[in-house]
Amino acid sequence: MATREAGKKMIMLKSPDGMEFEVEEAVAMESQTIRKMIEDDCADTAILIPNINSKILSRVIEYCNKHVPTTGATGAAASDTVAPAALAEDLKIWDAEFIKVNRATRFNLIQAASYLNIKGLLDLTSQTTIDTISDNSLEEIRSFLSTKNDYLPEEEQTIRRENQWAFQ
Amino acid sequence: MPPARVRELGEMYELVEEILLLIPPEEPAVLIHASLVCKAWCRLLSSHAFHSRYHTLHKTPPVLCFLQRWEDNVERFVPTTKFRPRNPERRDSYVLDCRHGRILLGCRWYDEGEEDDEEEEADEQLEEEEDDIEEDGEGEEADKEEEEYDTDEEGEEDDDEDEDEGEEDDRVLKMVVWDPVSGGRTKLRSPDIFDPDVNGATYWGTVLCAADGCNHASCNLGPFFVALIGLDSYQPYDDDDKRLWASVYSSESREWTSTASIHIGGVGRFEDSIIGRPSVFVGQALHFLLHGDPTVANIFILKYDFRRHRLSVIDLPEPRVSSWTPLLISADDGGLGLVHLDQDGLCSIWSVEVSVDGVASCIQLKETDLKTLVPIGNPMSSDSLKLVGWVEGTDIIIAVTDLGVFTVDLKSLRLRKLSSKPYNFTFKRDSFNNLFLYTSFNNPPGICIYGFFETYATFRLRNSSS
Repeated sequence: MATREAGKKMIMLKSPDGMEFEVEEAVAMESQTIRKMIEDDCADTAILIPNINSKILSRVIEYCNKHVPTTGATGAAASDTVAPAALAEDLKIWDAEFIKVNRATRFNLIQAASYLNIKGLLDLTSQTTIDTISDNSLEEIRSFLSTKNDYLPEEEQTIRRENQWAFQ
Repeated sequence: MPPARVRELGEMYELVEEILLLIPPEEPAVLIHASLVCKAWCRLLSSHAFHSRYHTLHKTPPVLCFLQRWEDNVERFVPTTKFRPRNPERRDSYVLDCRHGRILLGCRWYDEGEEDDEEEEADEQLEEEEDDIEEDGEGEEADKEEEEYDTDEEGEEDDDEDEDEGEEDDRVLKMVVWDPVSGGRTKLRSPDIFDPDVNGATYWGTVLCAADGCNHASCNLGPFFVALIGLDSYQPYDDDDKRLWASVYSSESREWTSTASIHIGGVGRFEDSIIGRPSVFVGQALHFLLHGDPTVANIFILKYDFRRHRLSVIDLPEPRVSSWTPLLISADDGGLGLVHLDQDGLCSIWSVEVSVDGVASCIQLKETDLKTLVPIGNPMSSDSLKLVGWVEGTDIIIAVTDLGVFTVDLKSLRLRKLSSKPYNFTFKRDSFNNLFLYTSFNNPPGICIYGFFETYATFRLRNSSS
């Protein structure tokens, strides 16, 4: 959780389960939804983030903290000494670790990223889901997504036969 | 209050859409997998709205294959991704154009029984599949109505029709508009004016989307035009009486327009011919190149004004091209352009201005040394590099060498190898000047029975209301 630093404007985010998170405004504004609220002056006291529990919200804040542009942000990455390419590589490794979560958490993160409109996080979580679709059999994908297969066996067969190339 | 049922991710369609939009276009198999997850996903992936968003996001459709015509009896469709067409084309056909997700094929005008059988076999097999899909089969009436948009079954009916019409038709150029993604084929016969027996007759065809204001995101099931442009002389070797003609087929009216024609005298001294390359569509007009006298390598621009249905020939004073045929392109400003490769591998790009009285002037924009950029096995040979195509709407040209097929972005100079298949330069092959890239997003309209018919129905509705 962010701590107050001199000269930095802080914002209070509240999850529906009553937890409060104090974050730097720049970090919170990684979310386009929150940015708009701040710009519209709707963020005087605390912003209630509906539908996102404290566990997920803290992960989202963790992500935004890492991804906020380094100038004037948290001191984690010293951009003066690290080349941009190395920094990007570092972020990629960090992202890969960050997304190693269970299925339910990942879905919640997708929802949160979508609601809060955080493009980087939505891309990251979505990409992981696409990788799942690319790398697994249809049965595995359906079970992963808890989606019911409503094709009749012969319908599925027809489509598979017409698109054999996609299953080779 | 009982807790609201938590929806699974697979059911959060608004989110699913966001996720599926990120499927990389160059991995078309993933789109197919995703549409088989459940019917709702298939509907989503087949919807026009999704197609449009996918197109907007990914901008340039991926190259699914290239089509070549310089070797006989091989598949014209050379895949560059996992994608394979549902119904491969006849091997004796040749590619005339490839645009907006459709391929225009020409077939030899003497039917060969053996080849026909081969096609019928393929059709029958597909017909069985169609039967599976149609369940109760909406009957022939429905088929006829849908003639332009599919199907293989329809194709076979056409075959029969062709046969019924007897021998006379054997000599008629047949063309097929083929959509490899949905598998749809429409067979056309050339307009009456066309007679391939005329000595020295040359012709070229173009297929174009006919939908107004279309972004070509998913118009492969929509209406189209085929323009056929021909050059023939009334008497053999009569250079003073050459006739250029043009006729346009509309898939909606299912008829050819009346023919526009002009007599051009002999533009060159010997054999004039239309250069067999895709036309360039600029300012509502199709542009081809016309070879005049090969000994002085003069080139003309043949213009067919689509709106006014009028032909004209534009003299091209510069650049004086050597033995290589230049590529006609659309330049940055949306006007016409030329790409010319000289024998030293120097590639020059020109913009072509045509004045109101029809005189062209060329301004050189850029020069690039392609021999240092494109891998060539034997750089000492003067014919080791050849330009064979341009990708519409881009700065990308296609080059073949003895080491394979390459695309070159003339702006960024980025090189991409499409195939390692060497181009063996021989006298025979040198007469073939073209290679087409088939690009399509392969959104699965044709893959799913539900998706397909829904998309089709939406399309029909949209067109009947407009």
